[in-house]
Amino acid sequence: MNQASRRLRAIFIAVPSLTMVAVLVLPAIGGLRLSFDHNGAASLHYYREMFRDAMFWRALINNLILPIGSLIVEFAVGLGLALVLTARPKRSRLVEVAAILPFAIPEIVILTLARYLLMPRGYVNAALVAAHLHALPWISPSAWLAMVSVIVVDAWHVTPIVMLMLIAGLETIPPELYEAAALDGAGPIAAFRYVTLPMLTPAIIGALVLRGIDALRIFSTVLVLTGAEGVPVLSTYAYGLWSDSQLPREAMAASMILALLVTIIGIGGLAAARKWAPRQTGLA
Amino acid sequence: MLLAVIWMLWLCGCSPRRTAPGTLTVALAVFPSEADRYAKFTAAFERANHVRVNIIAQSYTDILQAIRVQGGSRQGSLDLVELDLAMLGEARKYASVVDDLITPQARALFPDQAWAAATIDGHIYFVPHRLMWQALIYNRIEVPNPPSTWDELERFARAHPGKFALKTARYEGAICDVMPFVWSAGGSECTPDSPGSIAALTMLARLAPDLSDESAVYREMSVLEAQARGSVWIHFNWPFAMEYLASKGLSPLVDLSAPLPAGPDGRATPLGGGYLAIPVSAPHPELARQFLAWLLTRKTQTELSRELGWYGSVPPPPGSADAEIYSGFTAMQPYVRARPAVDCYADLSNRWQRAIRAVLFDDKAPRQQLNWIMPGGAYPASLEASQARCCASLSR
Amino acid sequence: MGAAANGAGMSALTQRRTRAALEAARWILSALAIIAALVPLYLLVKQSITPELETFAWPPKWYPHHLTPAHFETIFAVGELRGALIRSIGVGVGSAAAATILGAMLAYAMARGPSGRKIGFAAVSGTRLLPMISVAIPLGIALAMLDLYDQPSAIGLAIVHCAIAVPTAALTLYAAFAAIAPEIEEAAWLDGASPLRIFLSVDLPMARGAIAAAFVLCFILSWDEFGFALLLQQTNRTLPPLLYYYTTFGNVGPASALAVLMMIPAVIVVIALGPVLRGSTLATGTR
Repeated sequence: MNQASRRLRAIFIAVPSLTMVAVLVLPAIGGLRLSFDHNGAASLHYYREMFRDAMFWRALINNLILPIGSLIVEFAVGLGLALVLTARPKRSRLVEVAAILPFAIPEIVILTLARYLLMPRGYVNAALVAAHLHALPWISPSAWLAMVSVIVVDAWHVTPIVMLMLIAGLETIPPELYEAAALDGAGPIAAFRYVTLPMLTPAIIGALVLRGIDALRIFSTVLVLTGAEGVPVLSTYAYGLWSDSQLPREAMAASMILALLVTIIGIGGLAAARKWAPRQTGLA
Repeated sequence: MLLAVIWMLWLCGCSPRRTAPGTLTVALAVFPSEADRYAKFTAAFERANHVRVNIIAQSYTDILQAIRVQGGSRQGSLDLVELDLAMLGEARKYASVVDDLITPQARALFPDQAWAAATIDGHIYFVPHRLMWQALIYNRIEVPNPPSTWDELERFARAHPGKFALKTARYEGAICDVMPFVWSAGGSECTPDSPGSIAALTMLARLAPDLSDESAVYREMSVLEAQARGSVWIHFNWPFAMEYLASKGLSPLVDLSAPLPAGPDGRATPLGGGYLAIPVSAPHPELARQFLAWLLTRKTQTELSRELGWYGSVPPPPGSADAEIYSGFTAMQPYVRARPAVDCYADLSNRWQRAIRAVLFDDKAPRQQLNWIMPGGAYPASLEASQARCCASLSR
Repeated sequence: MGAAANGAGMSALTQRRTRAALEAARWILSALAIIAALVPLYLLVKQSITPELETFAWPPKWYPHHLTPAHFETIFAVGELRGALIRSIGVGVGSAAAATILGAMLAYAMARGPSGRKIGFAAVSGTRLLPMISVAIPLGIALAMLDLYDQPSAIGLAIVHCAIAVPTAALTLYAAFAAIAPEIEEAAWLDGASPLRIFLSVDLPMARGAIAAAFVLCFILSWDEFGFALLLQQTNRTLPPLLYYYTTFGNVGPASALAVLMMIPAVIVVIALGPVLRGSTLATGTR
């Protein structure tokens, strides 16, 4: 069995992996090469041009702030919802469907909707005015409030994933531990603090790494909500260079900075996950 | 099994359309309601030639990007594309020469200035499709008397903060909104360090604090939606703005057009517009040529202006509803000015965009920003000399 | 459990208060989840069936005053919708089928050997590190050279969607193949079946359910995908970039109508497949 089945397994690994490499990795390498190629000579020209652009630095900083904010919101809300849904043996189907729904709806639909809610004369401001409050510039360019809006909308779409990952973690906690804690007289808060949280930590770390890598690549939320220039991140900055400014090489240079950022943080995160949460991330 | 069937249907449903001999695929920079109306307009051509015209609505930059990429392939999917005036220099590489289609009768349909922009190295690559220029769009309920000079504009902005918007996202539209200021102060793109250019950007710096916040991201359609929602009362836009507002039931009841405010050197507005080109990768170039020949007749042109409200060459009949709606555009016609047809235009435009945004949104000094656009000393007197210098200094 | 001793000291009354507060928090959070999901959806549906003036008004109308089918008529009348719909379905089905096949191969190799598992997970997490934009811009150039860029059949986009869906399919199927007892394969081997034959006639049928789930997940991934579609299908669009175009061109009504159409299949699938999805989104963790 072994000789033939080893060959089969090798083929089964090679074909899909090579497909992914050919379609995703090779173009990225090609882009890396082109970003260093100025009129046929190796040069940092496009990077120098980009570093001179103030918007690049804003994009870089936003690209660090937004994912962190988004992770905080989605984990706080996701954990809350996960606890609500697992608190009773019989789950509320309505709450469950409502909690998963924002993930089920295509991202672009969520974003279109968020834009209509948050624009200067959108529904949120209409509600504020109806309640005799001031309308707020939810998505005005370069305002801190726009960053908050982007964070909340980004989290809105992906919180259900976090919730599902944390529910899976919660379900692995043996009920005996809670029974023992109750026998010791622990209240619900103590039980959460000393049973749930420590047992859930691997699941949280695993989810944090997977979501963090994804959050760094934020693109459409910013593009649809505030336009490429409003709250620039590296993806929208590169997109703007490619599409509006017709500067493909500089766009590639910008996208390579993003790839570098994701790779560094991603490898660090995956190493952390391998250490503390091998099962949750499939890195066992 | 079912999958295989669906996949086969998909392949059969989509692929042959590319090579179907009787279909002309046209990419236009129009919005959906216009695409629908344009389809009705082309019905006559479809009937006469027993063909189908397939219209794809897309933005100018995406169309250029598409033919740029298709140009590298043996056969694309687009037979005719509409391109913005500012892109023609760049798009020339991907367009076929159409010299023989331009009969004297066809040439007489558009002003010489329009043909000059379509001619590169003595050959005509592009056919004017709709000529346009900008005017001021205003909310007549909130603003009974729209500002007609720089002073009035400044007073308006001061009195109604956030209600005047410029479309100054980082794209070509920013140039179209700012050049009227530059030109009507005596400056020009190729002389960024001239007193006129400095005066214009100084004026912008004065307007900046009261400008609508979202000016930093507004483009044609987003600022127009804000105008429709009443969050903006005044902005500059192209004639299709009136078309859009009318289709939403807002013009002439709420929104109208007026001339752009006059500066120290008078008025000015950028010539813009869609030009049609046959991409070198067009699958049906002959059919595309037939379409252009049909388009370049007085009869078709009159129909086009009537059906779609594109009054680039023929003004709306006096006394008609359109005459009121488009009055600002009719009034601006004598002040139309083309952007320079220099090879380095894209580069020049990018630099201007950054300078404009630095002055408007980052409180940077106009003079310093303008000097940065084209580094190196006083500007030459003649336009040709300054254009030559423009490209030389940018290519460094 | 040192803290539990502290808890024992807590009076019964405080405990009851804490419980009541938690119960209240639970209700509030549940209510918020329901509101956050339903109110915006209601507004979207409302916008799709009322005249645009009701949306443009200030303050906007909260419930429909006049109903109109005009926006749905507009999006159906403009020929592009049909093309985009066929294209979205075609790309979805094509890429999901291919990704499920490739994913099944990868998952099988991962489930049957430790070295396979290592290489498989490395490939899966490695490709996940690549940002869309870094791939899409140079990929557009490469596809153009192969004559696959912006084709009406969107074949180039289907290939990309297949590649980004392989990890999803592989991780969904991994558990299913791992759960198949080796004894069953051994029995088939003793009957003289080749390894490929065993995979096709023993493992695949046993993983039927997971294969269907992987296919549906990959389809939804492609149906929702916006970034690559925006950059690679500039004129022959799929539904997500078409909706982006409607939105950015200020066409509130048609945009809402298209958005309503787009979310129907996704919502049906997620509600119908709830339990299966739970397991597999965990594995991928991506949107």
